Amino acid sequence: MLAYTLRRTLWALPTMLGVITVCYLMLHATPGGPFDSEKQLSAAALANLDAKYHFTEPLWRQYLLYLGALLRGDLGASYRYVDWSVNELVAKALPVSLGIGGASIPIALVLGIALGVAAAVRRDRPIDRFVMLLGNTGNVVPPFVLGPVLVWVFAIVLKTQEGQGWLPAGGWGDGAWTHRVLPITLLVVINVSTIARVMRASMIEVLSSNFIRTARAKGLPPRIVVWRHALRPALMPVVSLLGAISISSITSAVVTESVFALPGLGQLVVNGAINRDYTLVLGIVVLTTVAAVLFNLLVDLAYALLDPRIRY
Amino acid sequence: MALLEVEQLSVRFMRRGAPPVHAVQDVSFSVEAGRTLGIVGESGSGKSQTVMAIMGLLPPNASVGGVACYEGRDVLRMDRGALNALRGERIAMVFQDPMTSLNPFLTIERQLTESLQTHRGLPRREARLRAIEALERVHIPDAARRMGMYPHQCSGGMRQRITLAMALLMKPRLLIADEPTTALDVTVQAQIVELLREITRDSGTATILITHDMGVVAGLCDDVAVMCAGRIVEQSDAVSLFAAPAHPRTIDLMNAVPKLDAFEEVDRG
Amino acid sequence: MAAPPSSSSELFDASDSGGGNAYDGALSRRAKVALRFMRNRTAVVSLAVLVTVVLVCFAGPFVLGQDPARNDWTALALPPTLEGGHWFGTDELGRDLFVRTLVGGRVSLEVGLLGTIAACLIGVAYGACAGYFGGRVDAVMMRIVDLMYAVPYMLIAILVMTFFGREFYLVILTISAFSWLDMARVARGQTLSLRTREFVDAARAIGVPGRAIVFRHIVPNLLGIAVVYATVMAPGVVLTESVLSFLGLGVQEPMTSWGVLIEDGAQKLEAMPWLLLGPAAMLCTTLYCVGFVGDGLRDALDPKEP
Repeated sequence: MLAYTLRRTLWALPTMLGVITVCYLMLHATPGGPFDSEKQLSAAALANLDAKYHFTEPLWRQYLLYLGALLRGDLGASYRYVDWSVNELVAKALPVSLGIGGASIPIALVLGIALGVAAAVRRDRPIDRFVMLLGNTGNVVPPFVLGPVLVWVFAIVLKTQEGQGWLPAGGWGDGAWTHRVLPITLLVVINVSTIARVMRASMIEVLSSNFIRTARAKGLPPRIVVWRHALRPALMPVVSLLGAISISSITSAVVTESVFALPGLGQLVVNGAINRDYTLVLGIVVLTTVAAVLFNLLVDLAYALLDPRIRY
Repeated sequence: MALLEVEQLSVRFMRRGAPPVHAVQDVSFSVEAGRTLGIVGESGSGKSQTVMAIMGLLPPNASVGGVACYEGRDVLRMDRGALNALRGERIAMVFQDPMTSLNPFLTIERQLTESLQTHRGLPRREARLRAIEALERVHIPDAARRMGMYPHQCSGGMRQRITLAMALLMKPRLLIADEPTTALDVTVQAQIVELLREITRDSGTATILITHDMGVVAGLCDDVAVMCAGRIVEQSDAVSLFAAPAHPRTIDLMNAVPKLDAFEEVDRG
Repeated sequence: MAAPPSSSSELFDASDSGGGNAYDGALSRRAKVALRFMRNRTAVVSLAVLVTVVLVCFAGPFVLGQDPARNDWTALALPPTLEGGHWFGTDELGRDLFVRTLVGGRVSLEVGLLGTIAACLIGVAYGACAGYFGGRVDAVMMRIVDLMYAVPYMLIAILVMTFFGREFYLVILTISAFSWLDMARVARGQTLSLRTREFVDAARAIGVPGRAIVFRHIVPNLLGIAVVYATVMAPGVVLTESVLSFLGLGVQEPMTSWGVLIEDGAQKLEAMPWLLLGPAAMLCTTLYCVGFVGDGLRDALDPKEP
């Protein structure tokens, strides 16, 4: 078990390094630096900038300096927002993204698993058809369509007595729950459809296996057969799905924040890209890659925890 | 009254866009308390489907006809709750494939004690003790340590013993064993057969043994029913059957068992 | 005794799980697959709808004779109407939404098609090589795939589009650069089982070099599964392009795509909700139909008994 964990951890490091290096090179190889479009700066100003950003140094030195700073947890200074460091910008945007994404994943998991199990146990009944429909719809209606539709329904069509929309059309509003409901709903719907579909298929397969037959032959009530015997084996594909969801949630975050005008990491990185804010963009890429790799590591460990055949 | 009386049992599998498959047709037999009935036949003769029907383990597209009375009550028409009270407690079943009939995600202890806890309401500690006893009865060494292990850590023969222990833990009146030795090595087969004999004699459990191996039947069974293509073609007590087999199918099955001494086949007449 | 097969692929097709020999009955395997597909009503209807959408998008604007950039000053911000010819309505500049949707559809469909083809080609070749050569080559190749899986591709796509410009070919390149990963895994899996078949041994015995075996024998046998997987991949490709366009990082003006139109519609929801619904409906219908066609193909190639 320990060897397994160590091996997986060891693979994570070159992955992260590889991604960071590739992004670094790509950013510095592109035409058009961040200060190109600015008006001509005085020599003194240029010298200041150089001291801060080191761009007269050879590339490899800049790279090593950057890596060194990374190890200290310093993501550098923003190119565009001159008085801000990347760490500070990220710290401002992170709570927004976490408040939405972080809340939606557990909800989607619980809901998705429950729906999937219900659909598998009551095949061809209404709940099963509903889950299949949900699965197909979630696949087909993209978040950037569903989001605006949700906004249209809840903020424009449905109005309170004062003529205001039921829910705000966007913005963060310092995290008030009214501003969070729609984005979280969007994210939950996107993920629930996939999770429920995978859970259902997996559960159906597990329910037809021999050890379930044995459990039934022992006269165990259906509740126990499903929740004690069938659930854990059936969860395995869902766990690996979580790994994939962690990557796709970055995309979802970017889109959701764009639709609902939320000042989260997604917005930060898109604006950073448009503004050629190298360090900001690189910093966020680094962060998300590290988070994704760590998350996948956790998923691997969860596998081992769930399945005794891996552990022993 | 016999412990189990089956009359004109039939099993059909419905298929979409095709005529149904008749797996079992017009099967009748009875099992007396304390006796062992062997149901023999080749693959596809319907032996497994017969007992699956009795246990209520057929897939949803199966259509069952006839009557199967356990202690006077028709199990084919019972509701789920009543059937679950019987299954595992009064009627226990052991399956063919030890590699897949135990849940790989649960410990041996969990799988053994849950029947006791569900059917008898025993507290965990007592259930655990009974389970260890059961493992020892099937001659599993170091039973207490084995309890904390998972099925994949045990060999095939050991797993089959565990399955047997699991079935007999509840002291059922009827044990159904569906080809319990087929998936095992020959040497292990002999051990399991011996174990079955020992246990059924000791506890007086009635047994239905399904197999395609006449050698196993000779060693264990009091009565024999031979099945072919979903029907019983010959049925009598073991001694008479082996002395004078009548149906060609029976003779074929007996000839399939390799013999050390005989060179001629039994005359089909 | 069956007649000897004319090509190795027909008899040893990896995706043949129906058992029996390719010469059972009077029909060839391909005809059987086609028949099974035809029997699946949902798949056939979806295919028909899909073909209609493609035809309408590419031929429609010519037939209608309308210019997507034309401003009809007499019909500003009109909701959909049947008479007057503005079936999807118009925007605040009087541009007909229906024609714009069709023209946008061309771009979305082209990206979808080209991107999928590119990703398939790369994925199949990569996966087949990894699967066939095995050993260290395989280990290294799949490690690279694992590495690429961990990369947040959307961020990289955003980077590429903003730093290297929003050329059409770049859009396709970026999207296919990450879509081939799944296909490679699938192709590798299939190759691993194909590798043990007799026709590979036969080819090796007569001295066919490895590369030729991969491309002349293995890859043709992967086509079945590649086509099915392509239908799974295609919606993702179209979606990625739409997301990029939605974020303002997709194709450049004056080209438009469904993503661009949807973003435009999302901005003007309060005043002109139909601007969102038209292109969104087209996009969703297309994705839905591709999904069903894919399911139908998968069932036709590998039928499961009910």
